Amino acid sequence: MTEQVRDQQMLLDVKDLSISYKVYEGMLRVLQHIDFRVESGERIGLVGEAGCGKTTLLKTIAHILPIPPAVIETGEVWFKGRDVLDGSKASRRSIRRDVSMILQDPTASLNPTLTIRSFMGDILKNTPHPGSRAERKQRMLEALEKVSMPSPERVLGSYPVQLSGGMRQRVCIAMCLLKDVDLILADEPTTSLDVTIEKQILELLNTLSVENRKSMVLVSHALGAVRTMTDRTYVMYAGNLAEEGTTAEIFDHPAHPYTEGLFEATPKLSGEGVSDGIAGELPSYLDPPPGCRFMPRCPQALGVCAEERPGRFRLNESHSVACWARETGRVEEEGNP
Amino acid sequence: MSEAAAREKILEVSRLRKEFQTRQGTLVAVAGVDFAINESEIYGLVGESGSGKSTVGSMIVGMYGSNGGEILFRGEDIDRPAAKRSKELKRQIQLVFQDPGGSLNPRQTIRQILALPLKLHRGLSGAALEEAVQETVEKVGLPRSYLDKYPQAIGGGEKQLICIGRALAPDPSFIVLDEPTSALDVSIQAKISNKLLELQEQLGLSYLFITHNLCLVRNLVHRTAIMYLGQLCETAVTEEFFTHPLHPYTQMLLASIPVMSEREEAYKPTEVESVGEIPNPIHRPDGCGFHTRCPLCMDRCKTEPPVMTEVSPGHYVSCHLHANIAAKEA
Repeated sequence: MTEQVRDQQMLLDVKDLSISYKVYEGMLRVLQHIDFRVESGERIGLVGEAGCGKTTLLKTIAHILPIPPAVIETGEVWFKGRDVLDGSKASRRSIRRDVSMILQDPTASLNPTLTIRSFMGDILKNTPHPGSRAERKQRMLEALEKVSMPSPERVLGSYPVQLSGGMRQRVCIAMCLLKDVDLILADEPTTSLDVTIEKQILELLNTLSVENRKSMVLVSHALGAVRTMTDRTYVMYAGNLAEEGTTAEIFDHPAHPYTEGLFEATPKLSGEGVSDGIAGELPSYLDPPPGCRFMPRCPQALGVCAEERPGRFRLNESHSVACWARETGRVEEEGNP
Repeated sequence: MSEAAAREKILEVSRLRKEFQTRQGTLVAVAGVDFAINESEIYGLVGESGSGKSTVGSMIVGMYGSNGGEILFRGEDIDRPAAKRSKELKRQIQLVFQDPGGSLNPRQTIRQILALPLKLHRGLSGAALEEAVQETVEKVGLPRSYLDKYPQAIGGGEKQLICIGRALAPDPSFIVLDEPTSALDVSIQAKISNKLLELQEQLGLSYLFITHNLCLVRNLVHRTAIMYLGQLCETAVTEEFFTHPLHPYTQMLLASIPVMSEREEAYKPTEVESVGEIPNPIHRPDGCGFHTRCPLCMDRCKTEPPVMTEVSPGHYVSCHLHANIAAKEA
């Protein structure tokens, strides 16, 4: 029984996903044994620095990972009870229908030779009930109004270059609304925007996901945005999940040394001076450290860290961390080889 | 300028103006900016994209001349392109760019990159040059073994350190830092910021720190100024600036920052909602540039441009809400 109930609530379940990229120099071992879940209506934060594999994970979920050069070594991606990596047309269609991705750079994700009307029209034409021309236009205008677009009528006839960055991102969000998707993958939706516009876009995403009970994965450098907008947070480092837990718990009691370092390094508005940051830089994926990938930069590294990859240690019901230094005491190891 | 006047000014900018001719018309990137930077001071210039902050930096280093106003460096007018500046002046003012990858020649080793400014500006050669190169790379905290590497073989943060080393090599007194950490990850950004602070204290340098990151400014610079649509809105000592922001735009910016804890949340003004977008600088609004987005806009703001007014010692605001005291002077 429990299995079935869980499956119904579970919208997305990524199990033990490992992905490498084949390049001239060899294999880039990027993702390693990732377990990632999104329940229906849940908003997930995904935090990590550039090059930690966040986008690879999202692309795998959205079925737009270029294979090759990417190679899926192990793992399954279950979406609405179907393994989307099985290669069947039906699973691909299910992903395309029910998942939408908002990319960092809206300029690159909108074809410059088409008007906004043709993007949005294409989406409506491919829905089960496209409606008449006038109805479609009405629905486009409604979607644009929902994202607080100034003068939606004019925007419909515009090309992407005629809109500002913030307006383009609003168009992308309006397109998600038209599609009525179950899961929004927002990959750094505000990184290319100014801070006042960022605020507006984040608030918009927030209201839309709450009002329409949409599940969302928010990837962002803006840790503050993740803190206020999500229910649970995953922290990634060098292709590994360092830590997962409820957002409040992660931000109030970070357990992984990387998370601690990352939070300390973020300059604070309250002005506590500048921390030293984390020594060193991201390891090479060609020849990553054999044990914990954070070990070379870790101030708390133990002997075992150099040799063996840490499993996931559960701190409490909702909070687990992949760190040997947190093994002692109240932990039980989960089945990660 | 009560307190600041007591100290020597290294750089004074007044009524600075820069226009670019575009197909749609004249774009006024900088529309009359006044500020002064003291010796051994870090001055933070904050603004959104299109506010003209980088244009100000470019004019100071001499990428191009202005269309009015003046830039004084230790009392001498330097408002002209670098080609017309003296070698000594070029040595004194250096620049660090945002993208460390794009500003290092991929076909030169770190040694060659660092040697060039030492040869040009300090006339070194042979053993003395090698010694100075080694000194420079160590000054920014990198080992000597890096000298034989190429830029692509080192990380982004290390590349930026090399760029900083290159700027330091001619022994300047003033460095324009144009978004020096924006392309870097948070953990690396902290390291670079610390290095910049340490070097500033050690060598008594002055910085113009151009950035859009207010949190970084809060922790790094001595005085902060905000730019909007080519004009300064507000400037004050950093502590005062963040604890008593007066200009509605400053308040909007501060209120927009996503922060990490409730403690920081307390520093955010609550009265201002973020609305609208920065207007096209080709079609500047009349009056106050910010009036199209300002929640506290009055009739006067739509016609009459506000004037920089000192509201408390060292705290200047350009807003009609706070201009009553000095209205006559204007």
